[in-house]
Amino acid sequence: MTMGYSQYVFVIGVLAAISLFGQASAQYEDVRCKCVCPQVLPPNGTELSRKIMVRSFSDPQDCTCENVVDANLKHICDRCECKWQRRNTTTIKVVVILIICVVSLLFLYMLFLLCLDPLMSRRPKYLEHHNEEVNLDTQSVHRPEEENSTRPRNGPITNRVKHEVHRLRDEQQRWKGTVSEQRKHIFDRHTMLN
Amino acid sequence: MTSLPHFNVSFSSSPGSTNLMDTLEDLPPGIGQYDDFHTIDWLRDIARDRTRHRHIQKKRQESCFEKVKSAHDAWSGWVCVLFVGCAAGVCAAIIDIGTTWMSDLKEGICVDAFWLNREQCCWAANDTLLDQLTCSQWHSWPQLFGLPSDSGAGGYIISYLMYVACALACATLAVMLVRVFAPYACGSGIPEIKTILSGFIIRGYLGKWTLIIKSVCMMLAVSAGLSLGKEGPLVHVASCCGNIFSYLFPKYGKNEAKKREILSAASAAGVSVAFGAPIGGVLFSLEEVSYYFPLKTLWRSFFCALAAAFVLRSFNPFGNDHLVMFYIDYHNPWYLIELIPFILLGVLGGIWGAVFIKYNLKWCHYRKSSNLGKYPITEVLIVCLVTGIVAYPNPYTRMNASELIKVLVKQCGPEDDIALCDYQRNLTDVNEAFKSSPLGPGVVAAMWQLALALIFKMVITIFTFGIKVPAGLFIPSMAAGAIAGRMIGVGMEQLAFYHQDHHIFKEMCNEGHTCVTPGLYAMVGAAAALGGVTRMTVSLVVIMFELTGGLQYIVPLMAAVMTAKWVGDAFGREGIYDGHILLNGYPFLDSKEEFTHTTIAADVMRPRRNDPPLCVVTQDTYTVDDIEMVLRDTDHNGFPVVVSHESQYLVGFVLRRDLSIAVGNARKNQDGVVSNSVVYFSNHVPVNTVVGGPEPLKLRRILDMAPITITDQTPMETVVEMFRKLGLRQTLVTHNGRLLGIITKKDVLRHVAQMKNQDPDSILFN
Repeated sequence: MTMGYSQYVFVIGVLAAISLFGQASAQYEDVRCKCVCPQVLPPNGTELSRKIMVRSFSDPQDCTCENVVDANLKHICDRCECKWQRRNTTTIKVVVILIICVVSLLFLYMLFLLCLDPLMSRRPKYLEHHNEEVNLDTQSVHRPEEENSTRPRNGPITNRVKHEVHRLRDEQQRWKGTVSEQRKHIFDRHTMLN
Repeated sequence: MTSLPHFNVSFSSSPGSTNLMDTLEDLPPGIGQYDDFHTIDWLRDIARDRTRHRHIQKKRQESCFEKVKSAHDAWSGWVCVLFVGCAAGVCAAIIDIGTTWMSDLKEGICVDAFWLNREQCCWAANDTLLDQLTCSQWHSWPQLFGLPSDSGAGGYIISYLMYVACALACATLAVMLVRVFAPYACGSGIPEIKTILSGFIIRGYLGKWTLIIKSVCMMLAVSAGLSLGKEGPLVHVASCCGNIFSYLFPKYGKNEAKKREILSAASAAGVSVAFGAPIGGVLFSLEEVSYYFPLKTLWRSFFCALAAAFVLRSFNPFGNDHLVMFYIDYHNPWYLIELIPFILLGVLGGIWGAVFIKYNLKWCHYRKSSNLGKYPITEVLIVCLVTGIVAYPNPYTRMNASELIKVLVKQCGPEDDIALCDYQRNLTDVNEAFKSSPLGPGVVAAMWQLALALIFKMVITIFTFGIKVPAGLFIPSMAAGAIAGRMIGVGMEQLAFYHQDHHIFKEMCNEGHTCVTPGLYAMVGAAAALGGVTRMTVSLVVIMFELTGGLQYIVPLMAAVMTAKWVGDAFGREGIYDGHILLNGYPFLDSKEEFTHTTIAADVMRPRRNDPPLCVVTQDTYTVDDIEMVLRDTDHNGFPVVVSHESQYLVGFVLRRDLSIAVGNARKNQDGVVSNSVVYFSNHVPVNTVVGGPEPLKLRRILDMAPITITDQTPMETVVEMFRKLGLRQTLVTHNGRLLGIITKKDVLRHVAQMKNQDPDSILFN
């Protein structure tokens, strides 16, 4: 049940690391001045092929048609509509990476629950060991790249860790119970959410 | 009394208490709570909150700390809704950004910055030719596979395959996640929220896992291209936030009736962020979902919706400084004659709503009762596959439904080169105004495609709503309405254009704009279709008006939505949400309907004529053993307490859950309580004369001394009104002052169903 929180902490950590690697490249500016002009044939023969012209200015005052369109097209500026717009690519990046992390963690945990868990419950002597892994996967994913080196069984197992593992396992079992109860309501008995 | 923390002591020390429970702290945990799938007792919960509040007020004078505590208690409701609003705003921003990004993954990727969707990828690129086509940074799948361009047959096939494959992958992941982690996350959630707000307990329905899985799977399901939207589920997500944050404040977390105030505010925040319409959200909460909506809740909802909209706005998820994808910003006038097509759109919306409700409910009923329900994953995959295969060839079904609405409600401007704007305009002079013109081949083709898209959307939505992924109904029904509206709008435009000299259309065309704005028709059509399906009126118009930001379109919207409701109601009274509540048999006592039958309480109450007599407990003769036997042998949820079996004079009412917890707790913790201890519900406990005899058990604190009673001749009209207005869970029936029977909410619901010639056993829960 506490998995969501741990995930959150982990993901925030990853994101903090990622955002240190600089901003998006200059192509993905956070401001733009977008001018929309009607498509007409200018008198001097050069065809205006584009109706939307974009340039980035940090100052909204600079966003005028004269600053955006090419020199030979200045005469159409009366009919152009220019808008200064702003966005935040860093937010988008952070959010999308967060989503990817959450979806992949959920996916891995689901695979684990669907594939490994039934195998383990048939062989109870591995239960302890694997459940530790579950908890690492789901509860304490702050350092997943170090997962193999920090597995508790390699170090001295203190009572506290053991207690914690038991507590988490109980919680996981309880959670599984509620979910299977919900599943029964919806998928088997069809008493809800039809 | 206040300084006695222990259960056993406090039992004997509350002589002045007139009602149950002064505070919860000195009772064992769990008392006053409810079991899963039970109905709450609003009166009792609100009375308990008042007592708690009085207690805090009384203690305020005692110390500075108590003063701070009381201040905290006073503002905690506002703080809680602030948190809820902020959380809902953050969730909505994440979902909005994620959905647009994931949807575009079906068609390609932004190579240098994979986290940008197509529009954002080409946002600052100067080589963007058109508003929604590609730029050099955006690589479609054929380009990624090394093919030179999309134009060839090979490119088309690769695009097609990748589109369907991505859609299938998203749908599979969504349905699997729902099944494995949170089955409650499927569906729209609004029928269940309505039921919960009317006073029903569904444990886990608003939990953490539901929140996470619903948010994630909503994005996946929308990006799978399924004909569903994320607006309805956002209400569920916001309500989950409301539930989670209410646990930070025991005043709300431990009192189910008070918690519903927060949930009402949360659902307002959900609509506020879904449509960028804070006031519409408040009205939605009032009109559609809430059951108990005092003015205090109205203000809190207002504040919550405001906070949510503010947070979402500061995220700027669509990069256009608006809260929704499909806002409009034109201010063309409309003319009185146009009310005819608007009302026609309303009629069409109402018919579509009635047809949709009928067939969707039929299909859901079939799913519930047949083998189809055993293969939820296969069903989702088949629906997704069909949607993907049929949708791709038609550009209007291929695009995301929100984007489609955005295109349809837009006015054709100089920058639009899409087929919908392909009129035969010959703009030679730059200073010429943008006027109505004859149709170009592009618009004619677009009309055909739109007609096909409309049929497809209408059919597939019937089968999609109800599959086991998070799925809302707002966007698909709005899309269908917008398509129909745009088509009628284009038709009207041509009619006006070709008959400009006719006196009806004369004034429409002689100004410096197009004769008719087809985008406005799309907007009205969307509102009408949504009105037909959900039967909302005021809130829908306000939502639409907040989307458009134009006061002048209120009358067209009102006309269309009202017509849609009339026409829809002519075919069937209930909206889609009420229909699903009925289908699932939730114990929802609709306050919209009138009960006009002449039955009386004696016809409805239990026990019936030939049943064994009512199971009661006496106030001072039952032993602990007797009580335990009663608990074991019966499954009633509460027991009336009487003076004696002979007199049957009523003392109060005790809930099963409270009774079993209190007895169990006393057995464990209280010295001297044994099987033959006498249980006293009365205030007067005789002094224990026999030395060494069993200690009496005093349970007066858990007794509800003021149960609502009626006489057996009370008309059911009154009884139903009492259940609705007061939010009762049960009422006791007396005759000549003696207890005769009991009517529970379930009995009332069954009776109402029976009177409407429905199967009374369809009410499933207590």
